[in-house]
Amino acid sequence: MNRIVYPFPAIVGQDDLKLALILNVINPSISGVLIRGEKGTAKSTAVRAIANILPEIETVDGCPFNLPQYGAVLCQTCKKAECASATTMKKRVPVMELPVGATEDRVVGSLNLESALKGGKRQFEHGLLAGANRGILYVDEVNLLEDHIVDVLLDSAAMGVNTVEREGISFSHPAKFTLVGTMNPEEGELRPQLLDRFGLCVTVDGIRDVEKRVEVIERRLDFEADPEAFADKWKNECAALTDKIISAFELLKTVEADRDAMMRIAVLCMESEVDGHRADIIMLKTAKTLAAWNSRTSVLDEDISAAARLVLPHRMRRQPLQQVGRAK
Amino acid sequence: MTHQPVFPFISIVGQEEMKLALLLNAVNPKTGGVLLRGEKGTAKSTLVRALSALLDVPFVNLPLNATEDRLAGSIDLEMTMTIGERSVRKGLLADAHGGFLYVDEVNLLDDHITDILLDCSASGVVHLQREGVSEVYNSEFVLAGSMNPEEGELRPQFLDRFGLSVQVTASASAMERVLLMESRERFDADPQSFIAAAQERQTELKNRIQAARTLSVCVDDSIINYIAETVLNANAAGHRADIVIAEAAKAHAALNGRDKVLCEDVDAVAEFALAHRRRQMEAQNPETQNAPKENKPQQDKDNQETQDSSQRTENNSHESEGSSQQQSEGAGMETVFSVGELFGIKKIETAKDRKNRKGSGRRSRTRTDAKHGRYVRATENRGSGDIAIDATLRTAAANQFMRTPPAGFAIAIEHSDIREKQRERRIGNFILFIVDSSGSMGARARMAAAKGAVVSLLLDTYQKRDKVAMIAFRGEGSEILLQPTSSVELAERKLRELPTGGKTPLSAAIEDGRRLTGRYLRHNPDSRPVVIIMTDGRANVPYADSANPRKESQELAANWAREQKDVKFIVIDTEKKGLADFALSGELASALGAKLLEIKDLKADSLLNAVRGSFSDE
Repeated sequence: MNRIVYPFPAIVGQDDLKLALILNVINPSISGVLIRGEKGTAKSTAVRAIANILPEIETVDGCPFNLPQYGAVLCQTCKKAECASATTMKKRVPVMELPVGATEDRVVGSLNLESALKGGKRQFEHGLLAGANRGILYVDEVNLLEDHIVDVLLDSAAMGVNTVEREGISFSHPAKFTLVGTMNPEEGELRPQLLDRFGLCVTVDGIRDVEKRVEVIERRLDFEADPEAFADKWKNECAALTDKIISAFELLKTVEADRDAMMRIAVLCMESEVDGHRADIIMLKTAKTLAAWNSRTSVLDEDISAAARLVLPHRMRRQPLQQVGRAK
Repeated sequence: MTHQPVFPFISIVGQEEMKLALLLNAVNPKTGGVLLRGEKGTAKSTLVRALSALLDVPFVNLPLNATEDRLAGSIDLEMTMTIGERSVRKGLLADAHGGFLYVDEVNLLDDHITDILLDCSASGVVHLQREGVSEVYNSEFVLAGSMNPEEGELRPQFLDRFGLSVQVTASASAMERVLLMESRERFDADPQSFIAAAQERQTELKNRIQAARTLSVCVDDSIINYIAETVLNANAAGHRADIVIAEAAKAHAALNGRDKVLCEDVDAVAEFALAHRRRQMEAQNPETQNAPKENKPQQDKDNQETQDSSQRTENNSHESEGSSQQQSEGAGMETVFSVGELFGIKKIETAKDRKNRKGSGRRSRTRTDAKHGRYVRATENRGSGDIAIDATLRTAAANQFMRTPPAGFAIAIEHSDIREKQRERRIGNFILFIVDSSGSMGARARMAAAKGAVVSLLLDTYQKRDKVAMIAFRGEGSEILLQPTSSVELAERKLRELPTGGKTPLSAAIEDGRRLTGRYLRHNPDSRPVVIIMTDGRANVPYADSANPRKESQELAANWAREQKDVKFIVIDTEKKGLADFALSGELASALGAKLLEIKDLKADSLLNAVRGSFSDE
């Protein structure tokens, strides 16, 4: 795909959205982000743009799961013999897009039964979850997806594995990906159970500031007119951002949170009456990643407050009929 | 297969009850399985998976989207094709024999999958009788399930299948939560050394389980009497509780290295067996628990009058007592009543027909094009790729005399042999609520009760994944509060804010409703809307020039029912039976061809008769 992608740093405003995406790529165990908001707010642009500035990953040429090397147990069942001799190659972090009308087959993969019956050969057709391994799975309008598909998505996202037990197929493969979902809350909420599985949640609005709106239009027009020149103009900023993400990734391994910090997180979660312990765990991870992103090795109060703003809003909705983020 | 590092069982912080219930099952499979009920994010599935690493028995994970053929087994395609003999490929139930079968979100499992599980866990045997193959094989396993009750309850007979149940909550201690975060972070940073560090204590526990499994434990008569008393005092349904407690107590004794059950063993395990078998299930019903604080659910159902009067007192500040009805109707005064009692709803569904429908949900059974749902029969090839192997093979077999199989095959199959599956599943309906909010509804706390009933119905539509719309009528006309949407939240908010007062323009509401469902049916011709009208039927505002508004509303209603035959109507009278007014809504109901119900008829009373109380028209 040689189409030029809009440069990430050139996106005007939407700081929460950009931050949430950056935190997730630095630390995938934050487990995804849900973007709530109206249409036309640069949601999908941002997702594609972030993938474009990430360091390339090394994969076996032609591997449906983007595996880094041949020889996993999986490779025996996959039966793609040519992989053994294939060279590894560098490629962009994959972004798989899940359309609203997607069938379960398309998502988890399926067996082509007719060819199996005629030729006796089991030909597994890999789904989106295979292609999203080590990448980003972007789900537009996640609240309009059929329930059973959302179930499958979240199961895989949580376990890092896609397990298929249907229609004569019994198969499982790695499916570790960053889940990015978007939704317009006016069209119905996500079930609380599913909301909770998204690590972070941001609400995006259209920009209200006139000057900034003009800037959005100008940049977009510039980009449309000559994408190459536009991308070139932002090349240095992109490279700087890439470097910053890489060094934050390295620094994250040494970030420490002391007992006091964790105590603050626990109390914050208990006071907001969120269900379960997922909020605690994700908030700690987010705060640590924020510290690393700000070139620090210890978690400060400001990291915790910033993390809380991303972690708590969608979890404060305790029961099915309560609104998201409604104050108690 | 990919091997994911598993969080060590002994390193899980807190959740002692859940751990104990799982260990009891690991020691003594006769304990009958365990159901973990509780809020999200409380390590339910982490614990079950952690248990699997402790045991040397099979541990099978049943994904929600598993199909029947993978669960029970089906024809083995490769063997059949190459050898030409019918050959069976056993399913996950065979794999689970002698071990654990775990279902996460067990309450979201499709009905037909649940049926197979129920059948098998009751008999310990799978009777495979599908796709042209038949076989009987053993499958005895410990059923472990986890669920979040917000998403809907289990069927009572399925609930009873689980020997034990544990109510799981998040830890209320900040310190414990800190420890939990710490261990999670250490595990995520370096799973291998985390697991290595726990190895010694894991092995210790493993040995303890192993020793307990081999111990033969005896139960004295006095203990059996003690168990019987415990169960009787708890008012539990059925006899399974006694047996389960005895087995669990044996496991408990064995875990503690004893070969004799003591009373303390019984005490330690009894609650696990009783929690989900107590007759008063309403007390545990999530809807009732979540009832808004301002109107606590009334437990005493017989005491309707007290309830009415207590609610009236609560609303006293708004309402000007007894004669309010006349007054508010005349003056057009409006009050906003709070939401009354919430309760579980009986089954409401539409009958099965011959149309294929898309969509998901869990209300009414329908045929479907999606590759999801129960395989009911085979049809000709429609090009969906959902191939019925059995039927295809049969068709091909009949044509073999004029074909030569390819090398290495016993049978030749051509495109013309392909047959597809006809499937059946549940989907959500479209439900239109028409709520009378005229002044007459203000009397005797009718409106609070009506709002309570509608919110309860809304919770039910949430769990069944329906689309909803809402029309309210009062004063001079009716108003569409909510266009068809999946946002049950929005409907609930609109209803909460709905004021009461003025006359009863029932005819206008009927016309609005007819147009709304008409529009919906034009866009979704295959849908089957359900219209729920909540009123006392005292129509007194004409729609067109009519001398008799009541008669007019009935004529319009009859016209609606005639025009849209796919719509199912339910009229809920907010009056109590016996009062003269009941006849008014009765007339409306018969004009619509609707069922006439009282609010209390909607209630799914208890664990025991929830199954029988269905409004399905099958």
